[in-house]
Formats: sequence, structure tokens, C-alpha cells
Amino acid sequence: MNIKLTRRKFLHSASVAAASVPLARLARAENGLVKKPVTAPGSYAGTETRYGGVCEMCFWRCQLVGKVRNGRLIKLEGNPKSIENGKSICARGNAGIQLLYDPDRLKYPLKNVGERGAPKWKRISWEEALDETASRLKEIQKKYGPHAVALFPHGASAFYPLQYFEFTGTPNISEASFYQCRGVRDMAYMSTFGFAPGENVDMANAKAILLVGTHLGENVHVSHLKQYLKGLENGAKLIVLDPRFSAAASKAHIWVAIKPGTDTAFLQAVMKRLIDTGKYDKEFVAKSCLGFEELKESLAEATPEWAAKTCDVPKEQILQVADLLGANLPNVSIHPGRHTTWYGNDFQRLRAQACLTAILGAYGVPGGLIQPKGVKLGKASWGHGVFAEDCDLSTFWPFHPPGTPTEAIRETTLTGKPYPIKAWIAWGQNPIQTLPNQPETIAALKKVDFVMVTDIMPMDITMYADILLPGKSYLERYDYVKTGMQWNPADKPQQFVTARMPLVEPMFERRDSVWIVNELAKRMGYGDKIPVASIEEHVEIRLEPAGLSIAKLKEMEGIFIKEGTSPYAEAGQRAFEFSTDSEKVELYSEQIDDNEFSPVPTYIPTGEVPAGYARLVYGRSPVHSFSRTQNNTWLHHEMPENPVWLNDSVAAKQGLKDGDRVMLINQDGVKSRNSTILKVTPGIRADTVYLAHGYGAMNPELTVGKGQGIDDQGLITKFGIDPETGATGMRTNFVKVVKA
Amino acid sequence: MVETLSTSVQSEIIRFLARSLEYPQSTWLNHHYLDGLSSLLTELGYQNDLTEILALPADSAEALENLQIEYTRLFINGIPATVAPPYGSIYHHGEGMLNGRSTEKTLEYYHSHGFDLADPSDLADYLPLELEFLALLLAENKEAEAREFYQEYLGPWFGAFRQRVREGSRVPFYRILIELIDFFTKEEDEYEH
Repeated sequence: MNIKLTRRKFLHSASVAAASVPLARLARAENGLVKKPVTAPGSYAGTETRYGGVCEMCFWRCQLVGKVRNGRLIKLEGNPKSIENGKSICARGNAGIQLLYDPDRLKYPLKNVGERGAPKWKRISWEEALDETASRLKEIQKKYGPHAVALFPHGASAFYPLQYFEFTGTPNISEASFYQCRGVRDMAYMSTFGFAPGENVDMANAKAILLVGTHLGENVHVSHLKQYLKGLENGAKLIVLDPRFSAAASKAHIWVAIKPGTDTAFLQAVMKRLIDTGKYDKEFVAKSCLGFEELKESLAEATPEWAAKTCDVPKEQILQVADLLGANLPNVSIHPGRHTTWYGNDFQRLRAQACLTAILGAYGVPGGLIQPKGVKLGKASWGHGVFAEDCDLSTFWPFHPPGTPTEAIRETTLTGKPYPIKAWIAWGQNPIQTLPNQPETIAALKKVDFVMVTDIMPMDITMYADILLPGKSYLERYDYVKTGMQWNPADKPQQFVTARMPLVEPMFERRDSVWIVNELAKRMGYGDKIPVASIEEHVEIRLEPAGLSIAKLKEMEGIFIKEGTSPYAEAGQRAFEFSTDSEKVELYSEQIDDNEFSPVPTYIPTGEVPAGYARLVYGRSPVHSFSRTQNNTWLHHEMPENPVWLNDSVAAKQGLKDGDRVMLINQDGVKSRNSTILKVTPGIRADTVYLAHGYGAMNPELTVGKGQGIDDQGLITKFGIDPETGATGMRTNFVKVVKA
Repeated sequence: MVETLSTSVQSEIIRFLARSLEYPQSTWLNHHYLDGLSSLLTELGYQNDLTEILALPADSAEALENLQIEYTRLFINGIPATVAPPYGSIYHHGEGMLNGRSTEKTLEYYHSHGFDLADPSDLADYLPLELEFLALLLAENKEAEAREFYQEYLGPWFGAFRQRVREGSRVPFYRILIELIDFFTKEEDEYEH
């Protein structure tokens, strides 16, 4: 377009003046700007501190304050009143601002008028989005039953939708936080101690700490690291089992460069040594444990020689670890771990960790496994769903965590057996990067009749949505109510309650999940069953038993603190009642035996590394929360790619050098979509290759994160299913490193 | 008198163009609107793509939907990337984020001239809002302020935005709109005399 006139000449022509009259009428009637008294320029007065933020850049949920000026969030800080993280927040916490204002974020409801996987988006109204979603889901429920709808939720914002869909009658709900992360740990400890351990070991007051693959320092949670570092500062001896010289291994007194997959054998040999040398807590075992003799008997073959060979570590190191733990009992932290779905034999390994904790008597004492007490909170819920007979796929795994194993849902979707699954809903979860064998996930997404996704950002999963809904971020919404205790259990006992409260107003048409679910429920015929009218009401109900309200919490600068109770038992108390069937710590479990699994912790070998390959092991980056933060400019700047760690002697043989661009090829010939940088180091075993998880997104809408680094999940084509829990073991693939 | 008339005409036209950059809806993208646009283009002596633009029949649901899809791709969430988010801070000084420092400065500028956002969750540097502000200044015959606002706020990012729309738009509608906005807002040498 080329306009030859000057504007001046044009505007002076009389006919234009006449023509502009109808134009005036065609302009917007309502104004985007309104008159207000003049404010002098340059005055940035009125920076306000807003309280009540609870971080969700990861799931540790540190308490925040926001500095807000002119409605714009300019800085996040730890809430000085917090008795957990205090004033500290991590790199990701700081970078929450970048998530809030990321231009790639979802803004309005979108409809895919293209294909799944190759979307063409059209902005639609909430009315249209909700009407269409509700009518599609209703139609599927009517034709195939409510269990034909599968849900993949994640995080605090997905709690209410999870309840709702379960209430409508589908058991097909699978959380990555359970089935691809910590569910197996929780179930193993439930079977042993009768409670899920969280990461509640008192490292701050331990004399010795054992980390089984846990890489604290690379895995960053503020109050957790404070406990760990306090323990080290106080002189705790640190033992780290890891095939890699991790950040934690670099601080260890004993680094056991264990062969991946053999930890259970190592733990068995340690338990045997402790029992053989009489270095276990005899009183705790006698008064509080069940099945010690069966455990002892099961360890007959777990000699140091056997374990040394199995684990490929020196025999002396096994004895040294056992003796160090024995010398410091009961004040030892056997860390339960967090991401624990490794090989598909993980229930047994975590049972071994729980049993080791028990025979050391490391419960309810400084340094040991503790049960922090928080304040009692209220409940508002959709109520339990009633499932049709025989539609619950999870019953095959008697010790499964809540929900249904993801693989069962995917397989049923693909085969239609034992019944059809016709709708997939993802709510804050990115199953493309949480589930192994991506081609199958994609095939399932293409097969179903309807896909709805709610998220904050475009993700690999959002490319497959028919309807895509924009959520409020954690900085713009109410939702989560948190209670707990002071970070150092040895300090004056305190309890706190805090609620996530918005620090800024939401922009565009982003909505919270209670609003979205209620609007869907009204359209799906459940309007009369809605338990709360709004997210604020939900929070008020949660706070009420503590004598709190949103208004009161605001007055208290976001956090209510009261006197608490010590998580330690009284000195000398060695008899406890646990919530297991026998009310004891079950070293031997009849319940597990009844279900025809090994009732004492048993080592089950995983597949050996084929010649020419190395086992692919993945972990966390301190500046990212998996795939969630891939597009965060500030965090991306800190670690734009995930270097592949390769043993130096292996690299030399292959002619690879530190800093080379490389790709990975797995045992099935699948090549990584992208390349990354090579880190050549003696700090990793020759049979292992390592990289951080959460890189290499496919979705081009992630303008920062797309194609940066290697997506480990793309290479995980083979996986194990833990027979007791149905959790997905993902360290079962082998790769070659090749020049890009 | 002539001067006053011409600034008020300019103001009306800019308000019209601001509306044109909103999400296409049948509520406003109708025959009246297209007639207005066509008369404006005709007055400008512009003939080339007129038929193409007017081939956007206001009563064809399909044509409207195509324009909505294009709008979403250009300005909201697009594949492979949103072509040109219409917010100043995306372009200003490499900020690359929404609600950046320059957004806040824009808001301060509105405040210092006696205006505020009607909806506080709006972004001050949303292009239609900046155009509306410019139109308000011109309507009050504040030419010097309008020039200052263009020079310091709208102008510094509009060029980069315009370039992206010019290269990325698959329909003539937005390419032409962007040229019209440029024509009715930019500084002209003649302006200075």
C-alpha cells in the first residue's frame, strides 16, 4: 500500500471532514481510557507490598510477598514472616514475574480449527468454549459411560477438577506426581510405617544422612535445603549413592558410585551388616516393629561380597556405610527420595529404605523420620464418585497410589479394551513430557473423540487440544491453603497456616479452576451439586476451623503462626503405634504377602546395559521445574540447554570432546529431536549417561524453550511398570552419544 | 479553524482505526464499518486492494471466522509463534515481556495527562489504547503533546510491530490497517513547519 498524499493535505480536504463523521460513529462507544486528576510525572510513589503469595514455580510452595507498583508486579521476595523459607526464594521463585508476563502465555479460550498436533487456533468466547466442552463430554458420558473420560491433572489448581470428574464417575484419573514421581515412595512407606513420608527427615539435626540418588542442590526446595545445609554445618556425615558425582556427592563423606538399578542390593547388604554386628536399635525393633526375624532371614544371602559384585562398588565401602550409620543411630536421616519411579521394581527398594530407617530406630528422634503436625483445616468437596462395576483399571495393582496408573489409561484408550476411553482432559499436566513412549501418547490423543486442555502456557500437550482454556497463574489466584511447622524441628515448636492469595489482578480472560469447573458442571447437569460457589469460598471453608478467614490472614501479612508441638517423641520413648494393620512398623508385611508380592524387601534386577550403550539417567536442574519453566526467559538464560554427562574414558574412546554438539540414539534406534552440548567428566560411571529432564519442547509456540536441549522423555521408549503400584519406571533405556 | 478541524478529523480517524484492531466480531465488523473503511481508502486515492478488503463480506460467517483465525495467529497465540503481539513492551528496548517497564511508563504518561485505564487490568501499551490516547489528545487539540507521545511512546515500537505484520499477515486487511495507522500517526516533515 502506497499513499501518495501527505496527511496534512489529506486532512485539509473538506470531503474528508465529511467522510470522517460516519467514522466517528464506527469507533468504539465505550472508552478504554477515562479522565482522572493529573498525577505529576516521574513519581513512582506507592510501591505496595502485597502478602499472601504462595509460590508454585515448583511444588514446595514457599511463602512470598509481591512488590506491586501501578498494578504491575515488579519483584517477588520470601515472606519475612515465613517459618519455612523465610526471606529466601530460589531462582525459579524470582522468575515467577517472567511467567506472569510471558507474552507466549494463553490469554483467551482457543478452539483448534486445524488438526490435533498441528493446531490452528481461533479465539472463542468462554460461553462457546464451555458450551462445546460440556456438550462433547456429556455426549461421550452418555454413549460410553462416565469412565470414558480420562483426566490428567497436576498441581493445586487441578484439585477441584480432579474431585469433580471423579464425582461424575470416572476412575481414570492419573497424576504424574504419583505415577511418574513419588507415588511409589508413598505407598512403600504406607505399607511399612503406615504414613506417606514426604521428605520429612530431620536432616538439620542428623548425625548421618543417606541420600539414595537424591541430588539436593540440583533439586532445590528452599526449606529442604536449609535443613540439609544446617545438618552438614552441624557436622552430619553425608553418604550419597549416585552413579554420578552430583552436587550432593561433591559434599559427601562417602560417595558410592553405585551401578544404576542395584540400590536395593546395597541397602540389603547394609541392613545385614547392621544386624550381624548388632548395630541396630534393638529396643525400637522389639517394641515397635513386626517381622524382624523374617527380615533377618531374608538377608542371609546379602553378603558384602554379593552386594559389592552386584552394585559394582568396593566391599569395604558397603561396610563403611553400614558402620557409619550404625555408629550414629538413631539420629540418622535415610532420605525417602522424591522422584522414585526408576526401574519398575521401585516399591521393593523404597520398602528397603523404610526398613533400614526402622532398624536404625530413626523415627521420631532428632535426625530421624518425623511427622510434622500442622493446623486442622476444613474441607469442601464434590464427594466420592460411584464407578460402574468393573471399570476401575487400577485394581490390578493392589498398592497403587490414588487414581489409575497412566499406562493403563493409555493402553485402554488405544485398544478400547476392556472399554472405550473417548475423551482426554489435561489440567496443568503435560503428558507428552511426563509419560514414556511419546508416539503412543500421541496416538491416544489422536484417537479419542475430544481433547480439552487447561493450562497457563502453551505446552507440548496443548498442541493436541480441541478446546484450550487459559488458567490464572499462581500469582493471580486464590487456591492453596498450606499448613506446617518451622523448618528446623529442633527450634521452638510452631505451626503456621497460609493461603495462596493473588498478588495482582489477572489479565485477559484467564480464569480459575473452580469457576471453570462450576460452569462446566452447570452445563453437564450437576449444577445442583456444586459444593462451593467460588474459589474464595473454598479457601474460607478451609481456613474456618483454624479461626481464620481471608481478611484475617491479610491482616496477618499472609501467615498465621501459633505455638506448635514438637515432632520428636519424648526422650526414651521407643514404643509407638502406627497406622498399619498390625499398628507396628511392618518389616515383613502380611498384606503384601497376601497379594503375592515379596513381603520383605527384595532385590529384583533390572535389564543390563547392552554393549556399546550406556543407561540413560535423568534428574533435575536447580533453575527449572521440569518442562513447566522451559519458556521462562530468565531461567532459560541461566541454563539454556541440558548438557549430556559422559564418562571421560568413554568419550576418549569415541573421540568425543567436552563442548561437542551431540545427539542421543536409544536402543530402539530413536534419535533425540535436538542436539545439546557434551560434558566430559570422570564424575560419572562409564555405563551411565545423564541429563536434566524438562528440555527440548516440541511446541513452536514456546518461542524461548522450543527445541532447546534434549527431551529425555523422547528417548524413553521402553519402560517398566512397578507390579505393586503401577508406577512407571523410566531409567530403563540405553543410549549412544553421537556427534550432531 | 482549519487546523482545529484537521486535528479533530485525524482524531476521529485514529479512533476508527483503534476499533479496527480489536478482535473481529460481527457486532462491529459489519457493512457500516466496511463502508466507512472503503470511503476512507477511496478518499486516500487508494484503489489496489479495495476489492480484496470489501470481499470480506460482513454477512459471511466463514469470512469472519477466517479473519478471527488470522487475528488469533497474528496477535494472540499463533503457530509457530504469535506474529506481532500488539503490546509496546514486547518491542521496547528488548524487554520481550508483557507489562514491562515501558508499559508502566506509558501508564504514568496517561496519568500525567489526566487519564487512566478504565479497566486496571488492561495494559497501557496495548496498541488500540495508545491510539485512543493519541486521539484524545488530538481531540483536545493538543498537537504538541500528541507529537511527544508519538515520539517517546508509540513511535519507538510501532515500526517493529508494523514490520512484523507486513511480513507475517496472510490477509491484506491487517497489512492495510497497519499502513493506515502509520499514515495517520507518524510524524511528517510538513508537520514541523
